[in-house]
Order: sequence, then C-alpha cells, then structure tokens
Amino acid sequence: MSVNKHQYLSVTLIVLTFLIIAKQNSFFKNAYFVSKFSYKERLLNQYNFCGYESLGFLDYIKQKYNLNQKIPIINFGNSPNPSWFYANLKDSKDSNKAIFLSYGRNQENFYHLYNLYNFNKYKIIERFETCYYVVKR
Amino acid sequence: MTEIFYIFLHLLIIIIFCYPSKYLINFFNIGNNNLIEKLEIGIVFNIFLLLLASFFLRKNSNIVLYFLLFFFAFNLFFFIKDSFNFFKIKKIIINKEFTIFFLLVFIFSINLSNNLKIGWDAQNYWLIKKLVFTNNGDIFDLQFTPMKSYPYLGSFLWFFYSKVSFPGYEYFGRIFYIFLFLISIFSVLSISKLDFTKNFLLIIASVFLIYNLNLFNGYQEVLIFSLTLILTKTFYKYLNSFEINKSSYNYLSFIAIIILNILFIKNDALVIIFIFLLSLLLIKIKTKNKIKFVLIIFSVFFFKYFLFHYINLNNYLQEDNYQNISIAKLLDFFTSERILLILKYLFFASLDNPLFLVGGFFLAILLKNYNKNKFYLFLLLSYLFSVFFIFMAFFLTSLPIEFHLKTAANRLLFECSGFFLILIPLFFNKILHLKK
Repeated sequence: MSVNKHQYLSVTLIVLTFLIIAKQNSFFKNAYFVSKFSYKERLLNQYNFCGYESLGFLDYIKQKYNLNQKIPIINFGNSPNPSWFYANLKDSKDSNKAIFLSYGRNQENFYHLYNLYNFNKYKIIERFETCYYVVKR
Repeated sequence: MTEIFYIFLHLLIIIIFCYPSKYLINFFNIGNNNLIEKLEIGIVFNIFLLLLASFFLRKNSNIVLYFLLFFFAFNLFFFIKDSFNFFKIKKIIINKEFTIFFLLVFIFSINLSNNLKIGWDAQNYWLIKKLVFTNNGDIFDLQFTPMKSYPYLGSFLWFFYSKVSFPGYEYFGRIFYIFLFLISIFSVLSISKLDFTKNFLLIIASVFLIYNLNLFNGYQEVLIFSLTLILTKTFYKYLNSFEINKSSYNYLSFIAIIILNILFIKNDALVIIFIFLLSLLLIKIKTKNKIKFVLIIFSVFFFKYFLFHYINLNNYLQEDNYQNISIAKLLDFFTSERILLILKYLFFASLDNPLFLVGGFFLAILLKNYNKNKFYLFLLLSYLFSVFFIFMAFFLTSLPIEFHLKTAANRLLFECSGFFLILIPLFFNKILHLKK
C-alpha cells in the first residue's frame, strides 16, 4: 500500500486544522485533566462545595457517614435540586435525616419551604456555612 | 489516560450502532453515497429504533437490550465487511471528510469530559427522566417525574449511550449529542459543490459559527436543531427528486421518521414541525403531496398524543409558561415595553448564535436572484413563521418577561435556526454556478 502523493496536502491541512482547533478548545489541557483526575473529582470541581448545587458538601456527607440510602435534599437556594447526585443509592426507608442547602437564603421567595421544614424540629449533625446535614429531633 | 481511550472506544461504538447496512440504505434510497450521508441515515434510524425500544423496555427485563445488542452485531458485520472492501484497494485513500469529522467529535468529547456541569433544566427535568431508565424504570415510571408533559427521547438516548459505554458515566450519553450535532452539520454541508479545500473551510466555519460547549449540558435543543437540519436537507432533496422524476416514497418515509423523532424530544418541537408544515403548504407543490405531509404529521402527532395518554403523561404544550392567556387579557400582553425588551434580547441572542442572521442574509440574496425557487420560498416562509413564533412565545408568556427572555431567547432562536444552515452551501453553490 502506498499513500497517494496528492493527498499529502490534504493530510497537512487536516493536521494543521486539528492543531488549531485543539488549541482553541484547550484540547491538550482538557486531555491532561481527564487523564490526571477521576470523573468524580472533575465533576465536583465544576460545582461549589457549599452554594448552588453544593455537590462537594453532598459528597463529603456521603463519604463521612457512609451513606447507602437516599436522603431528602431540600435546596433553599435559587438553583436546581441536586438529588440526582445520590441517584445510585438505595431508596430511603428512613426519612428522619435530611440535607438543607443554602439554608437562610431567599426567605421571601421560598417561604413555603421554610414553613414546611421548620429548623427547630431538626438537630444539626454537620454544618458548613449554609449547608446542613440534619436529623429530626 | 484510560478514560480518553474509553471515549475513543465509545465513538467507535456509536459509529457502529449508527452504521447502516446496505439493506437500510437501499430501503431509504435517498441518494446518500458518502460515509457521512450513510451515517446520517443510520443515526436517524438508530434514534427511531431506540424510540421503539423505549416503548418495549420493561423493568427487570433485558429482552430489548439483547435485541439492540443483536442490532449492534448486525451493523458491526456490515461495518467490517465494508472496511475489508475498502482495504482491498491497493492505495490508502483517506476519507478526508470523515477524518475531520472524527477529529472534531473527539476534540469536543474531550472538552465535554472536562466540563461536566449540567444545565438548569437538564438537572431539573431531563436528567431526572434519564435516571428513571438508569434505575431500571420504564416509560410508565415517567409519570412520577416533574413536568409530565415533557417528552423523553433525548433522556432515553442519554441513558442508552451512557449504559453502553465502558465506564458508564453519564456524560458518555451526551457524547452522542455531539455526534448527532456534527453528523447533521457535515451532512447538510455535503450538498456543497465546492472543492475539498473550500468545502473544508466552509465546514470548519459553520461548525464554529454554531458550536458552544453549553449546547451539550443536557439541554435538548441541540437534538431538535440537528434533526431539523436533516429534515430540511431531506425536504430539499425531496423537492429536487421531482425534477429528476424519482419516487418520493422513500423521502416521505425518512421524513416521517425524523418528525416522529423530533416530536418525542421536546414539546417546542411541535411548533418547529408546524412551521415546517405551514411553509410547505404555502409553496407550489401538488395538492396530493401536501395531503401526504399533512397525513404524516397528524398521524405522528396523534400517535404521540395517545401514547402519552396511555402511559399517564399529559399533552400540554407548556405546563407553566402560558396559563394566564385569555382572550379578554390578550391585548395586555402587547405593550411597547414588551416589544422593546423582546427586540433587545433577540438582537443579543442572534449575535450569540449568528446563524439566524447569516441565514437571513444569504436567503435575501438568493431570493433576489431566484425568486421563483420553491425551496427558497419555503425557507422564507419558515423564516417568517419562526420570527412570528419567537415573538409570540415571549409576548404571551405568563413568566416575568425579562427572566423568560434571559433564559430562553438563545435556545429558542437556536432551535429555529435549524432550517437555515442549508442556505450556506446553497449560497456558495450558486456563486460557483455564476462563476462558470
């Protein structure tokens, strides 16, 4: 087999374009991060530890308390509920525990949530800034 | 390093899943000859097959997955057979177009793998629907997810392609979105008659005119956009098939499958399909053919309606956004403040995704010179209906208008611009024709 000589120009063009596009898309940096860090590390790096979806806090609680069942997550913040982060855990039979995210923020907008989850009825197990891991008293 | 290899392997898996056998190509027979155009048929059929699979998939039953495995093996056989035929040729002929395509998918996939953030609606709705299937649920469990009226095919594709990947991470499902996005762009641009170098520059320019990493954060607009591109291209070929007196049934069946796929992805798609239908009804084609399109679209629509009813999902177009509409209050929506706000946000949205503007510019030039061309008239009508739809979507919203515009203007404009990418190769073809 021999490479058609007329195709050298095309190959050069493709390689050059690949390099330009790769640079524009930080391909080499991304490839380095993908090979260096695990999927979970990269995922957590995209979200705040405590704030918005607070995946860092959710992961910290999961690791520290060895969670194997889902816990209700109530997000008082103006961001999506990150319950999907615990999707691979078993369904919970015990809903005494809960995780409150961004607690104390948006009281005017989410007054119905604040009424529903009266903080006085819960005992704090773990707290970081506005993120709480709580259990019913 | 292993994960990068898995991404590479996953791309091969997607290619084989979407590689059409010669029987499939002969069945549709819509003049698709090169590898990209074959993959275009394959990917549309693959999405259709996965839609069917979603109907029959049941909890704790793997029969559907075994069937899909058989389908994979069937495609793999043809892929290997065709590859061997390819290597029988003494010289290595590099498929340049496919090589560029593959490199782009690979670069964008690596980009996605390091930017895993999932979008707002995607976390709230689409990912939740995907998790129904991940946790061994079936379509009957979708009734327990938020926004019961939202279709689920995009989430099912997300689930399926993350399931068949080696590590099983969710973003492998979204790599399929990148694959579809690029196949559709390459496929539309394959109608260009420019030489390789110019066509190559056109492809790269078009991809980067549209590409944005946020398109793949789990939102479904990119799927609608990509399938609309293929739909428009197929309709263009359908209109041309009359000139060469070719049978149109294969085009109609392919269009029917695309429409079915689109309708099962997102509710907004219904409007896109109606824009398509209204535009084709107003151009000069035989009434018999118009009736065929009306029948196809209404049968697909009613099929979806009754299926959703059967699986306890509802058929609202938008559950939250338009509940305040009433004829008595209609005039209250049309105020000068709202008009100015809509214009402002649409202007910035069109700068963000200039395809709508570029398409409009090329369309104006083409229409000036060829004002009796049926396809250009079809695109003009689609353009006008799209603008009308976008304005009405924001005029009649019950949400605070500025919030709605901030969060949805870009996406709505992007969805509708799927009709107009084809204008880029058509414009350059005409220039080439004039030079000769």
